[in-house]
Amino acid sequence: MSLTADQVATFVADKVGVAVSDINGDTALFSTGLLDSVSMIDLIMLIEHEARLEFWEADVTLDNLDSVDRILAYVEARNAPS
Amino acid sequence: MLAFTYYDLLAQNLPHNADRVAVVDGDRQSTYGELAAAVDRLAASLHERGVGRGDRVGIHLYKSLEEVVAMFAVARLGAVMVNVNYQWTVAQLDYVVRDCEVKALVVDERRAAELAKSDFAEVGNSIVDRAIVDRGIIVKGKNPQHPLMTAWDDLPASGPLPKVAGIDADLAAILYTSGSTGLPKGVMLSNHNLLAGARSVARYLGINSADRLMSLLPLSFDYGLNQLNTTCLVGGTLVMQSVTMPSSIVGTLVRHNVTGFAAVPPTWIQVVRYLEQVATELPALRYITNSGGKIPPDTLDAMPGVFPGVEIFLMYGLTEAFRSTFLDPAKFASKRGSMGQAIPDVETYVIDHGRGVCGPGEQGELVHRGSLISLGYWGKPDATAEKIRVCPELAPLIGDEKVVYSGDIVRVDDDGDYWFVGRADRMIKCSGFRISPNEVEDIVYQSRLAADVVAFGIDDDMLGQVVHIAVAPIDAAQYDEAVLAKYCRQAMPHYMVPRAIHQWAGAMPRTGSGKLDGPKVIAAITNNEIVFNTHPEIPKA
Repeated sequence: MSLTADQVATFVADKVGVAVSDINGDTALFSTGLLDSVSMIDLIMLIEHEARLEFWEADVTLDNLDSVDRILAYVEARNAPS
Repeated sequence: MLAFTYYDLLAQNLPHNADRVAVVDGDRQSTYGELAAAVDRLAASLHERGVGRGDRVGIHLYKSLEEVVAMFAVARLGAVMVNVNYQWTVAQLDYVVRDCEVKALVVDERRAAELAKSDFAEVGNSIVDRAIVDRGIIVKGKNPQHPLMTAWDDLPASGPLPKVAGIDADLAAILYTSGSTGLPKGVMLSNHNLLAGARSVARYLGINSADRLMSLLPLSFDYGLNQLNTTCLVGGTLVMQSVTMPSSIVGTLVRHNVTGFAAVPPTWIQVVRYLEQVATELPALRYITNSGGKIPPDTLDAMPGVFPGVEIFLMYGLTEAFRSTFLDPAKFASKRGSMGQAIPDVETYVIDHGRGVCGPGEQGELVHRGSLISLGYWGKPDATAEKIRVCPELAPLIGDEKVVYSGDIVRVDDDGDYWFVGRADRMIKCSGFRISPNEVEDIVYQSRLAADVVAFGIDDDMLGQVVHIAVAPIDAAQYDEAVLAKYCRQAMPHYMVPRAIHQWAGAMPRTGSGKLDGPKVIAAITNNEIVFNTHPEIPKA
């Protein structure tokens, strides 16, 4: 199973109470306070579950999580054969 | 100068400390002098709009330098700051506005846009059109062109200001917090409460002008507010940290040579895990503090290793009494997990109701005595009288002086240190936030999907507790749990959203007097007597 942009955008839109179309690939999720720390834990659980990976604490960064695009790029990099 | 009012905390720095950095916010910083100038500018605009002594001003901003400016601008006028947690929904902001009749608001552009738009289906959004907020709304960022709103950047550079007024007994702040019942209540804090709290905590943490404290916690939370207050009291520096990710927090600790860092348990769990994976030297860090709940044992065990040479203070407080106890860091190794004893200038007692004051080995309810006791709840004299009252068991010691009943059951050990046992009521605590089960239940009823609902807390490794609800649907055939879950996510702040919805078949049991038998429902669920329907969209860890 893999994680899609739509799943992440739907998760965020649901949390914040806006339309999915309001969440673009580059919408800042954490650096603007759109999502809080409790939501962060839920988002990480969603990513871990859907993308079948375990987050390393050191990877919980704005670079990896602050937008839908960054999340997908992180998941792709993690799942790439090394 | 001696400080009497909250504004004095800032003003006392101006004669000798004006050039010292007061606040760091990302790449920006502000000296005490610059901060005071920005405060005067905003205060002049609020004054021009008619905000005066005693008026409540709502401050609803993402953590930033501007939040601090807004707080002191309100205090400069002798008005009352009402910091509303940024995570709260528009409906909750609306509740606060109505509850304490907020006359003016300072919000950011995201919330301003939500307020200006009128498509919020429920109670929200009438808020900007209401006669209550008749002194206007200042918007940090883009002004959505609403007639009541003015962009902060468009405010005049200066304007006439009244003489600084007020006495230490004046109401200075209202902090909204939940209890075991009903909707959130506004805890009224006087200038005296805020200053006494800052002095007490600055004394036992040994805070001085060389300290650089990290402000990660919301300023709408007594524990978070006190980082700002103690910083100004001693002329130190406050480093704002709005992003809660551990990598970002640790980066700020290093980059800004932070000396003191306060957080709640979920943050400690993540930061400790991070430091275990990414060893980081923090040579400037002098002390760390925890409040808002118990840190899990494995995290506590790891703390001295990842924070070598750092004093670890475990603290306890409740908004109604601001701050109450701390564990002497010298006892951390031998008593990790204890709440310790009363902070300076405060007395606490443990009461076995109807029997007396508890001694070593006994347990009872913690009560708090001293000048940190708040003025009570805004507009709720009955609730105040229940929380802050004369304690018959203490009459031989303090007569008819009132104390705060915490609702927390603690055990006293042989040294007089306290250990948390549990709550005397149904209050739920998630990630440091107090949640009233009634408030959760009220919102679920508003969905019109539930005939009966019981909300309760379930222990959680990361968050302390999380909310679960048991629901007996109005129409079982039509009931769709996903619809209810979505309603909750939109109507509640994130920390309040139920992590599991347990569907109850048929009507829920009731007591002899016809009230829902909550304990019976909760027992049936926690004992797995009924089917466990976990939340469909939040996978279990």
